[in-house]
Amino acid sequence: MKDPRAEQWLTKHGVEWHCEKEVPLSLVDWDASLKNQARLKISLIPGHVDELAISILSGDQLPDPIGYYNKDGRIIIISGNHRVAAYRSVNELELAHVEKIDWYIVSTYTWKIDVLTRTSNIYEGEGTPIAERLEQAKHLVRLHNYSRADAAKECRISATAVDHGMEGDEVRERLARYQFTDTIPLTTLCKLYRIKQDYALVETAKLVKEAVLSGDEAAEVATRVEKAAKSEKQQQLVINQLRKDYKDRIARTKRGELKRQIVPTIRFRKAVNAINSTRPEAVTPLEPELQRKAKSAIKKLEEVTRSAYST
Amino acid sequence: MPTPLKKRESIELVKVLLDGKWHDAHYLGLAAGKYIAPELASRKSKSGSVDSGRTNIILGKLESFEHLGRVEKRHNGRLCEWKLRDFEWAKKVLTWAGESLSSLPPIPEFKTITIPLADYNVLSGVKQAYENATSESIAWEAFLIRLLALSLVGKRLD
Repeated sequence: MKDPRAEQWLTKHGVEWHCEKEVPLSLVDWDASLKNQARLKISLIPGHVDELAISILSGDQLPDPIGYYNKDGRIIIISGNHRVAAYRSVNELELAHVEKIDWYIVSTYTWKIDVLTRTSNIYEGEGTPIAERLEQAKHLVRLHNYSRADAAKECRISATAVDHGMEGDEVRERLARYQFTDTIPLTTLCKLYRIKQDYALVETAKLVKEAVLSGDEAAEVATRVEKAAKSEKQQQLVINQLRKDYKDRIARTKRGELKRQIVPTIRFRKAVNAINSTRPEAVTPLEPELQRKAKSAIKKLEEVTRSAYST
Repeated sequence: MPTPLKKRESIELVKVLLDGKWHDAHYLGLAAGKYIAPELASRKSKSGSVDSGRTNIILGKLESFEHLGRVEKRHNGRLCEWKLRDFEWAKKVLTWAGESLSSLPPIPEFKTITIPLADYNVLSGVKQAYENATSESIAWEAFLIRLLALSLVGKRLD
């Protein structure tokens, strides 16, 4: 079935494309296509393949996949791995015989194919998490010299998110150079980006970690440290003063009395995920596991409700 | 003849190591690993984490470089550190990659000192005696510096 959105997407990217009718499925280089998939963790989501297979068996027409010919004359999939997997699955189970399908065939540069492969899951397919889109955006900036704004647009996230992601990574790298490997959330790390002096950065990061400072507090601290950047001595004095200011908090963290607060939205999302994971179709064979997850989900939900009442 | 390194992360790894200093694996994983595609990295990690996948891939590369004698490894407490050993190879790698060497940090030079054989034999004998006395081996550079320092303050090497 023709897919106007895919056609529009390809045209927008300025690549040459055409439709090819009745291409045998055997022409697909399946291994290379799976390797070419840009989804994190796993190439295919089995549940999604099953859903599409059911659609095929119900007589629904799926949009034509997008691919390109490699030098051996075989097709490598750019978009539509799940659809092709579903066709293969119904054939293997002998529930239907789909031997030929129509394709959108792209002819362009290798780097452009890479960009299309990375962004195809974003324009369609299963909902791509923000963290995954951010990783792809950073990759476009680093490997394909995209501007941060263009990469953000391509991956459908805000330019600020890409800025913060890149800055956080840079800070983490600078800290690792001085063997500071403690975990600080990326959202807090990016606030330290403005500190250009490595020594001051390491000392401030230690303070952030020891006093369990929030993102906003870290930003405030970074501003004060950076303001004193004219002289190293002055900067050291500011950091010492900040340490004195946060003395109590550092002591409380050391005693284990202070832990980073998880914001209610994250806790709520965790609770919802836990409930979702108790759906019988997700964990049918594991009865005790199902029970354990259900208990944990109820407990989490109770915690969220309690904290909602208390605030 | 060694084959050229084609992957961006390998080239970046060599560039970072070119300063001749010891670098810990975590830092190298971040500095060079950021050029590895996130999906490849996440599939190389048990937890699916992009960062640990990148570190795993970079460690694998370092191990293979070490096997070929290009880099050396040491354990410094809980850290595992790496240093470039074969600077000629690194220069070749970067030339193949089309990197402008002038823009890179200067390559440390290890100079050879030429001294008469008789003097070398005397020095070597002293070094041997020193090692026997202290029951530990000492590198030539460290030994010569110690000798120089002692002679400057007018002391004997006991």
